[in-house]
Amino acid sequence: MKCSEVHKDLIFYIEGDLSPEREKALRKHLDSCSDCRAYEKFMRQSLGAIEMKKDVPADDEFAGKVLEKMSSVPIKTFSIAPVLKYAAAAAVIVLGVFTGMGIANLTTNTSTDKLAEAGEEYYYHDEMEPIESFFLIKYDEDE
Amino acid sequence: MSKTIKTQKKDRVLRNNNDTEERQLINALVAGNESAYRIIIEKYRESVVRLCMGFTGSYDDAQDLAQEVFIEIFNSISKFKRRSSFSTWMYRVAVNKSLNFLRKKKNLVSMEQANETVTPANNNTSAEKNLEISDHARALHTALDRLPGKQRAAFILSKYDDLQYAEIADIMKTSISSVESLLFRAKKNLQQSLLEYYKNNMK
Repeated sequence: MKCSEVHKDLIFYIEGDLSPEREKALRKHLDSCSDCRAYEKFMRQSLGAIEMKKDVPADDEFAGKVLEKMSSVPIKTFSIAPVLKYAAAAAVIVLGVFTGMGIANLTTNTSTDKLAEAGEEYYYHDEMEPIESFFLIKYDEDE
Repeated sequence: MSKTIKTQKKDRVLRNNNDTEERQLINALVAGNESAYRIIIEKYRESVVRLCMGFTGSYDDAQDLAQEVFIEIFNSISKFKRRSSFSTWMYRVAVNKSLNFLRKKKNLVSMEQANETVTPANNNTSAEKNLEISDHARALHTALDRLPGKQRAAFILSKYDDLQYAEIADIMKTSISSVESLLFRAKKNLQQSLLEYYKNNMK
């Protein structure tokens, strides 16, 4: 067996994925080649880093941090809200004209801020997804 | 023979009890019950942090990402239609959140690199032939970083969370043979990257 073949199969040797014959041939080469043994040591130690990272220390504050973040994150609004603000304002003005409402009456009773709130509320109840979620791989089971 | 039947019955009763418990817990989550949130976190924190470690490579980042995963789980619980087990769905959310984290990080790094002048690599370190433990972890994480998303997810679910191929297939919505193929390619690519790292830093 050549060193290049060891380079090709070493990870499968370490993982125990090789056939008994292949494993035996690789072990025989390792016994006689110090370069490949050094590489094998490096590979074993690098893959061994996984085991060390699996040891998760206790963290009594973790749940508290999650709950705190949950309560501090506001319900997501949508990036089209500013557009909606003007669209809602325009819609109400047009509606006002057609229902015979006076322009003066409309400006005194309905501020643009209130219209914007109404618009956001509409989208909230419509359960639209925030725009960025379209870029995620879906984990919704309905797909 | 009758002993086997008794054991099977006992297992079924136990499984049914567990199913009932899980159903009640999910109902409580949907209702926004804080105790249910805490029970879920207590039960799955280690698994989620381990998975996040595989994706981020650092404990601090993994902690932050795991917190985001739980927030996503609780906010999206209404999307869980109970066609799979809760843990399968939870892992699916965690994998997606982690892949998204990597995408954002990659964009951030490429933006930072575009703004930085290139500095020559320090070759003095390669004179030091003995790699420390942290260097092995870095070598591994560098290799993991180069894996395509699906190979990386399958490898991390298998090696960091010790999940069976069937569970990984459920989480990734694919077949067991596809998982085997993903893991084979992941190992092959990891080996290639580790060999390059070894040649550049050790020889």
